[in-house]
Amino acid sequence: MYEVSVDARAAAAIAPAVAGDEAAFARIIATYHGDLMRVAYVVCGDNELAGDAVQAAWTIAWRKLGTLRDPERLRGWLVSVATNEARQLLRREHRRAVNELKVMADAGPPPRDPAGTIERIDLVNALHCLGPDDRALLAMRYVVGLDATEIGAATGRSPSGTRARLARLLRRVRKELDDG
Amino acid sequence: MADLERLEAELSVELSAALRRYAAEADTSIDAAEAARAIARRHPRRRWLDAVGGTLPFPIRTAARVVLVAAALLALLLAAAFVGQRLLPDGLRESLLRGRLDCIQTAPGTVSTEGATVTTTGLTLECRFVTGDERTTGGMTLVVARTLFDGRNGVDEGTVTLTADRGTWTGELAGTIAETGARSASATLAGQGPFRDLQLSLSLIGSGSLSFVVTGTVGPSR
Repeated sequence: MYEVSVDARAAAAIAPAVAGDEAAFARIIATYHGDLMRVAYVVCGDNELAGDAVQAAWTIAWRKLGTLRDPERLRGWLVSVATNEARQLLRREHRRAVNELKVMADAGPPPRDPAGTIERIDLVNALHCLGPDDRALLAMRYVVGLDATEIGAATGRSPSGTRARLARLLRRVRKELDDG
Repeated sequence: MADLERLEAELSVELSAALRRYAAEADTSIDAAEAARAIARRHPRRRWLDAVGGTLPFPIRTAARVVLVAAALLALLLAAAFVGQRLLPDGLRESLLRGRLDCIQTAPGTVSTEGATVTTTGLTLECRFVTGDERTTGGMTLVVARTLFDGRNGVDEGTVTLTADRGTWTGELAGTIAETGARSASATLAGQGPFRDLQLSLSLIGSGSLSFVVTGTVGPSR
């Protein structure tokens, strides 16, 4: 999905960003902000929450970029940071006593055809049946395109464990979609 | 593995397409330069810590920082000890700086480090004060305590001269050492400069029978 040169350019910006170069950090943000927002959106299902999570993730990235040992893992690392922030934010949101009702605020662009509407509703319903961790796993695999090894490194699991969990997850999603 | 591949083959193309369409609803717009500037302004780097192994792997970085903090604490302790020694009461400092005083007789008479019985009319002692610490500075007080055996005769004059391997030291007799029949006297020495091997020449002129003890302590300059 990504050109090697894009990742390489971003990786080359790590050292100057660690040294405090804001312009270099801005290059990293510009490269990966979209990925982070998309993953966070799948986890949270809400643009505002996703935005908050990603903003927190960028702050963490600024502070801890120097701890990244392998520059080639930058994308996976950033995605895992954003995913963690999204999950934590979601957990905190669920603990709140007051739930805010949204009036179709995040319904997305109008579907082109009725079949698309059904597909989105089915998908959203299926995602709602999953926990934030599982949604994060799906987003990392199918939205950002990380492989099992990268996801494993990002989530602290072995690649084989990640594959097994993805397989269970796919079975469950298929069942939810079939049932829906 | 095969299970995942089969499932992915069945579902992932459709699922990933649907997920991407769904994820595309995310608002991905951002002014990256402004965001970077704001984050850098709100979260300034802890440069003093980042400078220590900021790019090193976690365990090494932590160890480096522990060493840094330990070194800082040690430096603090040493500084406190140095200042504390400066501020110590005189008695404590004296005990810290106490050295060894060795005296030998260089004139007729019978003398030892602990004491002497003098039956001649003249006695010269040369004493060497060894602290073992060449950084020792400050003044020195040498107390010459004598006990006159018969109480009639005593020391009627004396001189103290000091030579040090480094620094400048002078000494003078004080107290009642010049008084005939004195039972005790003190010689106060003062000077500046570091010393490790301080030599003291003490000349006592008197008659009769007496014994005395020469002790030395080092104390701060007065």
